[in-house]
Amino acid sequence: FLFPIKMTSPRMIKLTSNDDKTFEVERDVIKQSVTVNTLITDLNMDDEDVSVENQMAIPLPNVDAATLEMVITWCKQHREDPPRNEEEEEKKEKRTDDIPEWDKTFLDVEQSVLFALILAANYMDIKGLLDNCCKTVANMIKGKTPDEIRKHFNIKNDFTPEEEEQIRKENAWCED
Amino acid sequence: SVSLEMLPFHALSRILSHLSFLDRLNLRESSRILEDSIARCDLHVDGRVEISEVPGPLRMKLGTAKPLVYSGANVPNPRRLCSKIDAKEIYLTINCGSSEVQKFYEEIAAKSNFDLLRLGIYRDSERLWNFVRTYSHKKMLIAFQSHDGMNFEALRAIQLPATINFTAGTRLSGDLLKSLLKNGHSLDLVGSVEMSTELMMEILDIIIVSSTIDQFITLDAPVAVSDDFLARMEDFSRKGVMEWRENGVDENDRMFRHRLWLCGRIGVKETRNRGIHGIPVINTRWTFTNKPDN
Repeated sequence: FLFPIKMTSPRMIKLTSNDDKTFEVERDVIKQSVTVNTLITDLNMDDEDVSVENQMAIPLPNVDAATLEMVITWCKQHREDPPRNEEEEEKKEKRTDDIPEWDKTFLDVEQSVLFALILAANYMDIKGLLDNCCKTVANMIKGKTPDEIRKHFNIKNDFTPEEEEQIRKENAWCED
Repeated sequence: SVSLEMLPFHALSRILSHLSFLDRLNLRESSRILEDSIARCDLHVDGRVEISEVPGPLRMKLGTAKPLVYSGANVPNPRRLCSKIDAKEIYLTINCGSSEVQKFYEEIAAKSNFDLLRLGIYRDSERLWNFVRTYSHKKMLIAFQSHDGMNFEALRAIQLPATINFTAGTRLSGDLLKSLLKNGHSLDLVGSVEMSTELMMEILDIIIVSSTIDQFITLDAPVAVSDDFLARMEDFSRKGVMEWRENGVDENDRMFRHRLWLCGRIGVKETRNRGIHGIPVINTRWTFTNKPDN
């Protein structure tokens, strides 16, 4: 006997960036974003009767197209990751030398792109991405003097000389 | 484009959580915006307050192995923090003798309505002991990281039962030891006090006769375990006031363990490689406590 096999394509979700570019992404991939996931649930978008063509796109007003594309790429790469237990994560020893190799390469981008990814991950509530981005930034800060930090991150020294002196005095005890 | 200074609170907090004391300090010294942002991150967190970075070993002694909510690096401006403290437990690690830091911890403590003071002490000073005396009415957990030339006599002033963890090599007089125990303090003396069997008996007497339910004393085992001593231990054990921790390998230990087994007590393994009077024979520490078994 031959039974008809119903081929089901993966459920797709539409996301629109703040510069009006729309992306179609698998439901299973974007579930890593708590923000998007909650919206999908709240708007009953998991209803199978609605085709992707007729589906409302979820607007992401804080994310531009280039960043959203990167976020989706990251989510695709990590779709098989086990769900994060934030309580357990909090208990873990804080370390920055455990960024997966793929993420290290993926996050080896210009600072502005990295910070845009942090904003997007924060807004879309993708903890894994946010965590690895923050670890990458932390690694950039480690071991640098205030002056080196300024140079590396192009930060303007907005302290007056008097304030700098005051800070040095207040923090002198740390140098003991 | 976005810069480090424009990151939201939550993201900055995450970055900060991966930085060491000095890295955070350097970051906050790099710009006023970051200094303010870091201050906001730190003040957002409530709960425990720890001032100054606590190195691993001392952190363990203070019972704070888990990273604390505040570390010294989280304190961008001591004055700013002082006005906002509302913590029930504060952790102070007095690791330097400068008047700046002394003033700092004094201010922190003065402005906090804390119940428990966890104090890590590295260096001796009259000002330090004045500080201890000032808060002698508070519950304290004290761990010493150094003992050279320290005058422990000031510990007699502490009023509420405290837990005092002495560093290895500390010399304490038997009189002070007994006095601290009689005042209800719990003492961890492993590796720190060379004790004769007679003094140990006296100490056990204090514990068995007058200790409170939460009071404990942790000691190295004496080398000479006589029959009298064992009989006394068994008596002690039967009364349910001893927890025996052992990693014993020598015959005395085995016999002792066996006899304690007969008394229905079992200890928890704890490795020590220290003997008494310079004879590294028994790798044992005992914790005597009045706490009943569950």
